[in-house]
Amino acid sequence: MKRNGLLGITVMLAAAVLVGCGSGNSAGSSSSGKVTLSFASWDTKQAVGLRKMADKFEKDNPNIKIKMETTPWDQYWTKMEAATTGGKMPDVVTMHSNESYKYMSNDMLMSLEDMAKKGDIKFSNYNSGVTKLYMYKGKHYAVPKDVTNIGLWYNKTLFDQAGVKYPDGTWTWETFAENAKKLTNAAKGVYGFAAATAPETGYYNFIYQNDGQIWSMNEKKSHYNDKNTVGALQFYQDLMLKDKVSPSAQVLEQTDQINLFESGKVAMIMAGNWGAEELASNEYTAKNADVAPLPKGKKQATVTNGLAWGISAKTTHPKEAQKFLKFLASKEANTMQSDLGVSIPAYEGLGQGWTDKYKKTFAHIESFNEQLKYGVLRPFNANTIKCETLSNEQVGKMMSGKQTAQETADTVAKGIDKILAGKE
Amino acid sequence: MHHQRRIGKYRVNEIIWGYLFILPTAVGLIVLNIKPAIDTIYMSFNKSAGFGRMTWTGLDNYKRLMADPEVWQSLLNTLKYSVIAVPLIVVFSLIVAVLMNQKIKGLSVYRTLYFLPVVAAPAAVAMIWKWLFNSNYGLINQMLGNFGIKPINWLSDPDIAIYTVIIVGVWSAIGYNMVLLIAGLQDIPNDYYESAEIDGAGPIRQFFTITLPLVTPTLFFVVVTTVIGAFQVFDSIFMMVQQNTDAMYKTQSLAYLFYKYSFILNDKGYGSAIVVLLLGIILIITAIQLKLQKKWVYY
Amino acid sequence: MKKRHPLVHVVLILGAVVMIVPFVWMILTSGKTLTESTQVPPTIFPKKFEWSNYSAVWALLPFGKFYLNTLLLVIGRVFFSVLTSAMAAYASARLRFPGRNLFFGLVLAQMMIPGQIFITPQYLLAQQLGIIDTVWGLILPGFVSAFGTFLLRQFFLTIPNELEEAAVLDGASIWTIFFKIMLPLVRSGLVALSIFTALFAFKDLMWPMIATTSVDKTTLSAGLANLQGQYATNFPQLMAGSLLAVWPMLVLFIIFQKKFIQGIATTGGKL
Repeated sequence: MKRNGLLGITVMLAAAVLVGCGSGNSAGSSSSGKVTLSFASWDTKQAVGLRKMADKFEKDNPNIKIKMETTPWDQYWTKMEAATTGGKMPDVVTMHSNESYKYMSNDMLMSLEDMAKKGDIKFSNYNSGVTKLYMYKGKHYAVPKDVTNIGLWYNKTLFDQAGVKYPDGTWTWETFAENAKKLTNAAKGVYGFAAATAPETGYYNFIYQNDGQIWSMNEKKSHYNDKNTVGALQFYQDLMLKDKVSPSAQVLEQTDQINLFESGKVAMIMAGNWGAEELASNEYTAKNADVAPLPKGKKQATVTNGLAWGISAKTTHPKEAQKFLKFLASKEANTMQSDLGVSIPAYEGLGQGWTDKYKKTFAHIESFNEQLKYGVLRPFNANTIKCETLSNEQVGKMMSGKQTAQETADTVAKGIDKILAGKE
Repeated sequence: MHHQRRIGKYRVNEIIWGYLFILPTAVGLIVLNIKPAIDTIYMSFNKSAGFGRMTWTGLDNYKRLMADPEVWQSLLNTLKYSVIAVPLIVVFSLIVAVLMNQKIKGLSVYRTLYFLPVVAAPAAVAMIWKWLFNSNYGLINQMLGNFGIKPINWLSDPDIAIYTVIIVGVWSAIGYNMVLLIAGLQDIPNDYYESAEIDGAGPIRQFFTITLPLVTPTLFFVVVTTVIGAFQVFDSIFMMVQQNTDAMYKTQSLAYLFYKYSFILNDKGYGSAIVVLLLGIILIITAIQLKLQKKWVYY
Repeated sequence: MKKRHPLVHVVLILGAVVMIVPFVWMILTSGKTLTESTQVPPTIFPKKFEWSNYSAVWALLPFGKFYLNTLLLVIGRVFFSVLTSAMAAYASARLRFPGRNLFFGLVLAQMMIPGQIFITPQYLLAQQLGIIDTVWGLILPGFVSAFGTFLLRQFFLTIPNELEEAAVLDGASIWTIFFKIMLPLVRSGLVALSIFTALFAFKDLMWPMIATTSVDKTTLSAGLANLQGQYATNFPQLMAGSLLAVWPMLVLFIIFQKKFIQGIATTGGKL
């Protein structure tokens, strides 16, 4: 035994592993008749409020337990696809328009038509744009959770120091570029704006403001090389390369625009209303930041989007999952979502709570509600991820001066056409 | 033993136990490696339709691969990484190993310190270096700043990022190879050095006439495994360089590209074609190394 | 090699500094506040060591689960691969049976092929078995080891025949010979393989990332990759997380460093 001591220990440990594994891995229903539902989302900041909503539901339904699974965005969809393929999709999932089409068209989400018929969900209650994002062949597959749009966040102190008036709804592209120049002090490492290679919180907004097109859901052809799109890309590139009002593309790749904003290195960024929680919890921005509507190009526009909650088509607890979804769809839950500052609910007319929560910190937070009037939906289709990856790669090249706006648009358009034709 | 039953030249007893003993490994290798390798090759002729579904598309993935500049760029990056990192790893490991193959004070302390990077999880290693290389606040740029050198975008400049990844790769690999080489050096009989000393050979000559030739078997092993490792580089690139950027385009290896297509874009068919390409390259290079082995390895 | 040049120490110390500065800087940064860490010029020591960075990452990610999962992964892989490899290695080194060379060819082939080629099908297999997101799923690719079989075979080959023959004459069965006589003789090989397997299981990144879908089922290595996604640029917290992820192996190594280094050295010398 002396000689085999090491082997003996290994055997014992291994036996412990086996016993441990046998007992610990059966999730779902437990012996006491309680049902556990898994609830997947990605935003850690929102998770706090969502947990409170889940607590409320658990209190009302003592037989159902909600287990929240929060996975960061970078891995959320990789894992969701893996789990879904393996038949282990979480019971209730948070959907994004980038991916919803794939899940709906492959019957991975439960149709909500029955719930609508029973009156558990009334889809007319929600923002119609967001509702549309989660419909496939005329059927509903997810309950709109929230509605988002992009605002122009600015640093009041940097504006005061440069003697520039705070932005408001009247700004045009010209005022924007001009003031960004005034705010830039490259010697001190301070820039007017962060022209990040980000679609929703970056160049998409300019494309829509210039009446340009990205791609549309129903067509097999992209309009990415439309002259207005090229114009917007040109303006975006000029901000960085010609006017030099933005940190270089390389700096923005290493440090997120929100972080640059939080450390007082850029005076303005484009960020969604979902960024309010982060910016309010940061001491510096809570004191110095406010938000305004985006500047106006040929027209006013901001990218709107919205998340939604759906049920796995293969859930082992359909009844309980529907019960939870009914709760999430309710006025009560959405009022909580608003009041807790999680996000602006897609449930119409409940946005006030959210606004009130942040009003003390950011005086003009209601501009997000106002901007909804002219919001344009973020583009989506069955291959959103591939299209957007392509677009970002090419715009990234453009922002580092490797190619012109026209070349970028042509390459992306060609690539998207190929993707839409199913060739790539 | 004469009483044992035989079949031809084999003993029945040994046949039975032999099969029983190899059974777990043989089944494991077939289920976990051989069949997966065949599956991957099969998948490379398919297009994935999401959620595990496939449709046969013949050579389409390979045609696309041949015409895809991203694949060629990744291949170039992989070669660049290997051509630079492998010699650096081998030379540094050998120098350190030779220096440590002496009776010097603090030997075990040195050995421990040099080996530390080997036991650190690659995700943590990448994070630490990412912080050191941060262009605004990283220690490295701050120190260079003292010499009046402007901040360098170590991880986001497309022309630099790959070298940064190489630095981290070399740093992580020295300790491991050093230990292997020290073991190889200790197998060299001391008499060789003693007689060389009597002949009046200095340390440099001793190194080239005795040490280097006699350590070639270990060196060969080090070179082959380092090359294979270099061709499969993934962790540090994945963790340190930002996705979908020009810097990534100029840094990503074939192994990363495989991950991107198979698990980020969920195009498992195309991803498989990429990894089959990688397999082909590694097999060719390993075969060449085995051939060349006779020319420089002393047994 | 009697004469020692003072330069030897200079060179070695210089190298050692390069090796450990990253770790030292990790520890120092993990104790700073965010503002302190981004100060220009930087301070070397934190004014006051901020333990809150540790509690913050600990609260954000289930590190306790990471430790447990990593431990189970390491133990599982070491146990299964050492056991199966030892059996297969013994058979292919000491027993004669038809197909032995074919089997050894299989082992060699696996060692030549890059691991990524197996990953997608292994992942699909794990899904079919329903073990995605379980410890078994994490262990799966390491149930057997071609490398281990090869390594231990080299050890078995060096054992003289007499021992075995004597045992056979005493009427011992092959099973008894294997367990009672041969295994103890290749003990250093078993230790070396265990260390090697443990180290590589601990460092594996791509497989745990793919084979687990929920955060509390993953390992330290892959869990830490999550942290980067959430806290893009909070360096002190990222460093605190890194330290939480590297210390177990670091401590094990420092305690058992002789065994580690011998183990790795043997694996190389035997190939």
